[in-house]
Amino acid sequence: MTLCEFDREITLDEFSLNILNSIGNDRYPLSGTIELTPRCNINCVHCYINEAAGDETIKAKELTTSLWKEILDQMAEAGTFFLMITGGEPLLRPDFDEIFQYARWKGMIVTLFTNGTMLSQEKAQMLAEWNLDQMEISLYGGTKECYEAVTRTPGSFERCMTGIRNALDAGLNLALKTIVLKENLHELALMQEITESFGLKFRYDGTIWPRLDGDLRPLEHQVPVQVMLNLDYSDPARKEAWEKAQSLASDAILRDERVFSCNASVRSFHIDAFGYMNVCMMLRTKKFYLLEKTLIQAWKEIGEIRQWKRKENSLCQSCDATVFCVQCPGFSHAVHGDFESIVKPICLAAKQRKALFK
Amino acid sequence: MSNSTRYYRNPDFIFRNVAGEAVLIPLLKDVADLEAIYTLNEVGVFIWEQMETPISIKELKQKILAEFEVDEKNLDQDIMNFVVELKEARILLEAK
Repeated sequence: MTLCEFDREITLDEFSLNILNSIGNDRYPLSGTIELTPRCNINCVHCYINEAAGDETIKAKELTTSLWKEILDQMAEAGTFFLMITGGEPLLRPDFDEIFQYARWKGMIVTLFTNGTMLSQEKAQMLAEWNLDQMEISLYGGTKECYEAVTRTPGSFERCMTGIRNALDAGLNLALKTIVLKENLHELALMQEITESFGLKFRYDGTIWPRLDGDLRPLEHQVPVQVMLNLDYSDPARKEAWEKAQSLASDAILRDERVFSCNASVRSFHIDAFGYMNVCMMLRTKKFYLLEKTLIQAWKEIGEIRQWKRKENSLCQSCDATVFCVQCPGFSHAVHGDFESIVKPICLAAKQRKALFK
Repeated sequence: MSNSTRYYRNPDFIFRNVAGEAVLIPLLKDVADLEAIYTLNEVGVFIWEQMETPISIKELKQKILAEFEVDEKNLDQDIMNFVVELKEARILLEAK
């Protein structure tokens, strides 16, 4: 045996690649998302999940601190290394610090998704002190008027800006992002400018999901597909990314006879505020209660779901635009109530995008 | 640094084995940030396990020789390199 190096200094990215090489093609619960609460202190028009911050009925159903710790124990035991904490607004939980710090004690690399409006100086400093790896704050507009037209919460813009400054002052690894809506499309460039003025990375998405309870009203805020395509084409970085996708997987047919030919629950899993492990964040109908079975049992049973075969042949199985497509069983279920039906606007957008970046 | 100096783990570093890849992760930023972390090979993991309580390089060498078929010639230097590097990174502490 060669003994020359018992240890080696390495970056997190390099280590991640080592892990992925070790895992190979196997399923492995490497990355977990925990949704501490569906409640939120702002009330965005497009949100798929938000419930009132003070909803006592929901609060009473949420996992307790000790139950979250038990689940984190199981996650660490199963090999989960990357943890994303989200909500709702996760900072609403009075035990947020305790849960976050416990995850760090388990050696997890943690990312936090927050709206930033509750990020005090003390909270930001605590997160930095405990080596939060990444934070993403959602920015819904570049002005108070636009931002609060989305959040429907007076004072939230200023609180978000304060949160961003607190994160920066604490030295956190922060990125900003937005969801492009009819209400804030005209301020997309301004949001980019604000982000650049902070010296931060910015990303945006234009895909709106129905609410988890089946309410389709968020879709009313969706920007037309053609507008999103124009944005992609006129933004050099996004254009390059799509062209790269096209060149790497040109005409690739990525959907097959399986219902889940996506990456859901291959390297990652999602646990909601009530203790259910779901196939993915956007598909909550097939869920496994972690107070009745272990995390590993639930992970194995989700593996069986991933083997489901389609009931009918789908056009997706012969479509050569799948690299541009966000069609998935979750979207089918949200719109049509089954796992297989094609969501026509999604399909159309994929074909148009492929034609545009050919 | 002598062969009789005893070393032990800094409890602010968390050992993880992820899909067979061993790594030490700093808990708090005042110890280290996440920019650079340390992976361990099989012998490194064995040494880490021995260091739950203070142990000297001499004792470590005996334990390694009992566990692994290794060339004794360079072992002192290899263990010393490991201890020096991880001590500088504050991953190992010197027992008083």
